[in-house]
Amino acid sequence: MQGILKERVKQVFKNGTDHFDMSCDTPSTSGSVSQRACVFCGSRVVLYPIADAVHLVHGPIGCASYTWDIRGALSSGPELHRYSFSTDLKEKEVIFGGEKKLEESIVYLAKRFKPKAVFVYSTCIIGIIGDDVERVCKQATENIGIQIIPVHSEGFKGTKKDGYKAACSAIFRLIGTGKGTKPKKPSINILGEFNLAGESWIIKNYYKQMGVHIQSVMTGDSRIEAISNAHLADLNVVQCSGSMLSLAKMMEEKYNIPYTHVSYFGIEDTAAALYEVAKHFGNPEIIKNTKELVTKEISQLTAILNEYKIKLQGKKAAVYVGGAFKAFSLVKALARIGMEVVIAGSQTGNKDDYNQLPNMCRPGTIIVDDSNPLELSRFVQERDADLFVGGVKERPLAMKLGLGFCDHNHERKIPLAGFEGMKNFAQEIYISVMSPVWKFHEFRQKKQIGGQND
Amino acid sequence: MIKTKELPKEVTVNSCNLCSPLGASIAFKGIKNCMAILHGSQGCATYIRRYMIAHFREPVDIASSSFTEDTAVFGGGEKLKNGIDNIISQYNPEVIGIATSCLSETIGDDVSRYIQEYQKERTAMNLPEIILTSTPSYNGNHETGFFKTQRALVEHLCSQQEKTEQFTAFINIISPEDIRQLKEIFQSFNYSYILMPDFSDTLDGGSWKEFNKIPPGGTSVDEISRVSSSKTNIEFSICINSKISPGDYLFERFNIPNIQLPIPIGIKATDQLMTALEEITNTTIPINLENQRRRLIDAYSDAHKYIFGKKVAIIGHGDLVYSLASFISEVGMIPLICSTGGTHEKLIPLLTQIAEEYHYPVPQICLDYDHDDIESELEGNDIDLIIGSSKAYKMAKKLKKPLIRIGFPIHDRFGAAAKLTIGYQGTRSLLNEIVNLFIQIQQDENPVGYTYQ
Repeated sequence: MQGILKERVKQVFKNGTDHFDMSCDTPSTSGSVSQRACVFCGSRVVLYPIADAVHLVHGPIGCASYTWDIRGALSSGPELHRYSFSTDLKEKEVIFGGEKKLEESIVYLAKRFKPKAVFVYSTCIIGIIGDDVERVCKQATENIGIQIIPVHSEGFKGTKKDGYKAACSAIFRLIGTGKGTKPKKPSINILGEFNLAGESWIIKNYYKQMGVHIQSVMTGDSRIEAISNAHLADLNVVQCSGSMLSLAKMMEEKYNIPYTHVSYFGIEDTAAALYEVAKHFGNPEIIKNTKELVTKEISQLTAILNEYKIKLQGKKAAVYVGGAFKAFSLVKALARIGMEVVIAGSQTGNKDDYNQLPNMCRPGTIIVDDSNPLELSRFVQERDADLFVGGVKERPLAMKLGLGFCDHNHERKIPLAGFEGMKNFAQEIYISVMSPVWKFHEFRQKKQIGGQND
Repeated sequence: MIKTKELPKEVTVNSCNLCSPLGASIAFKGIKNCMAILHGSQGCATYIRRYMIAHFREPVDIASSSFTEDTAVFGGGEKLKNGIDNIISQYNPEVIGIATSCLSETIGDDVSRYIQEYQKERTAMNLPEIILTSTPSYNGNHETGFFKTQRALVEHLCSQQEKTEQFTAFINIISPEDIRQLKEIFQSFNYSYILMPDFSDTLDGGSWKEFNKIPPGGTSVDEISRVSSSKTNIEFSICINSKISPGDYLFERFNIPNIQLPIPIGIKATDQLMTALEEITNTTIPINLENQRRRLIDAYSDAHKYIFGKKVAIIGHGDLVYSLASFISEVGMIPLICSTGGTHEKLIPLLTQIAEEYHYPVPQICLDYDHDDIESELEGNDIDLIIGSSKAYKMAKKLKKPLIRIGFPIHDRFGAAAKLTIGYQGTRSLLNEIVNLFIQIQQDENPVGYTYQ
């Protein structure tokens, strides 16, 4: 494809035209303006919702400031995750080492906030200045009596996905340390669900209705104790596969817990997820409950979604999200309301996930890994999209190009998961695509597509 | 009472500071046809982009050299050069601004040498200007990066020239609307000026007809190169350290007088600007500005009863804290707590002087404070209003105090880029906001529910 940086040629494909062989899981190209963040970001995202732990960022101030209370992960109780804790290293510590400051910070925070655990995130310079964070954490764990867990999240040591792995390793240290007993009911851990806008609560409610016990959610609205007893569950149900599949694999190996891979975005995928769990247990009561639940929810939704479908039929969407697995769900969910996906991309999709996209998308759809603003802007113009589904960094692009926009990132305040979420998703898209404001937009005037508020 | 952060709290909880590369990024955004690249991990660029996008609601493209483990071991030269190549091929900018990060500084990357090598290796190409600013985040904060970058720009682009009838204004971190206000003031004096870095269009642009790789607007290289022909410089900072001051640099190198002024909020601070402009242009204040001043005084009179004696906590960067304290004192409010994440000791005599002038006790001047320290300070004080960024909202909610949002970031309100607070006009708009807030509180609390004031 023309105009793509040479390093990125193997990361951009036109469906049906190019031979599809996605080269992903690679570091971002320098100078490309990747939409990805770093290893630290990956770790921070995964661990962030753990609400009764202190999240201490060890390094100069930036990393802690930019991640202070910026995500919509809700808690039903403590809210320690909404603080920004930093060792705020200055030049002096960069020269003489930051271990002492780290030790003192941990002691202070543990005493004042009484967390159930402390996660210590290493940022870029920690290894370079030679701080032995493992030693400090081990010592502090012994002295204080709660788990002080190092997270090896130096920004440059890989991609955001390596940060997910570092977070999974940190969680894995906790699992199995709990003194709980095995639940009597069939039980699951929900992995890769972060309770954005209360989504975990919606999903948990479905499982409750089905008769399935939730042993833990990792990490939406989660607590250290629940995580420490996660090894007692019968099944791991993994949503955001990019972020937490590695934990599921580690738990399978150590605790013999099988895992399944699901999505709660869109009605088809939500229904499939619930049926999959029901089938796993094979309990007739659970299967019956699940059928009832799904039938009821879908029958309530169908009429509403059909209304939206009439209005949105034929509109074209660009999807650029964190992981490719979520992109599939969005392709299906958008199709359900009459829309066609013309660009499908992700920051950190893996090869297996990407390989499923060509079959799901129409010919001509652009499939892209680790894209950048210039590429995305060009693709939406070439493919004449009406709507962009992405995160905060994509929002101004959509606005400048006169496109509707749906925020499907971690900052969202409206739940988009589950059946209820599908309704919100359709409504948000409807509002944005149909708004009359695009009538005034010079970019859209050229295309003669004015919004209609009917 | 002067306070500095009390030990033994070594840890920072809810910092007031952002890092130096963010300040550099805002400054580079004010340069015409410029792309910035942060020399460090991919996250630095992405986090800063996200933070700026949420505030300005504009596209903010900032590249990264995207360090990997190998880069950290062997140095970032190749990554940086490759990054510059990719920026040129994608964006074709006139200027590339490189800001370093804590990572590249800590491994001791010699970025100046990389740039020289790059320029030698690519002699056949028509290269953009490449400007380097050193912004490790363990040194200073976003204000530091903002001014250091302005200084780097003039250091790199200015040479000895004949002086002309023109002045240069180095702005502080103010809103795009404030920049437009400042330009209107300058234009009223009908005198030639260069304002830098002008991010009024790049970070608050209109709708686009055509796609722009780099948003239009900004101070051009040509303008910056002519800064050394200015007769005088105005620098909107009174807290600035001389080592990072672009104005002080130009004075030392080209003997251009540097007038350091507060951010013009309130009558006195705006008067100081007018006096400076009168002297520079050898004219008197234009009638439109004089009328604005009169209208502001009239508004002060109309407003005085609603706000007299109200006790205020101010949170912001050093210069903003000073100007807000000065303004609210003028209308009879009392800055009880003046706090900043910076370490500007210059604030102490300045705020003491204001207190003496308006006959109230010297405020608690809190330097090197985080939001958590400020919250503790507020708990023991009966205040009526907090002025700060969005990040002060949590304490405002907890303490049930109203919050007026000024500064950076404003992430929880619409229209941060359009917020006007400077000059006589801006002060009036800020005054309106404050007065209406108190009227509304009064109205909501009053069972009669008066529909007039």
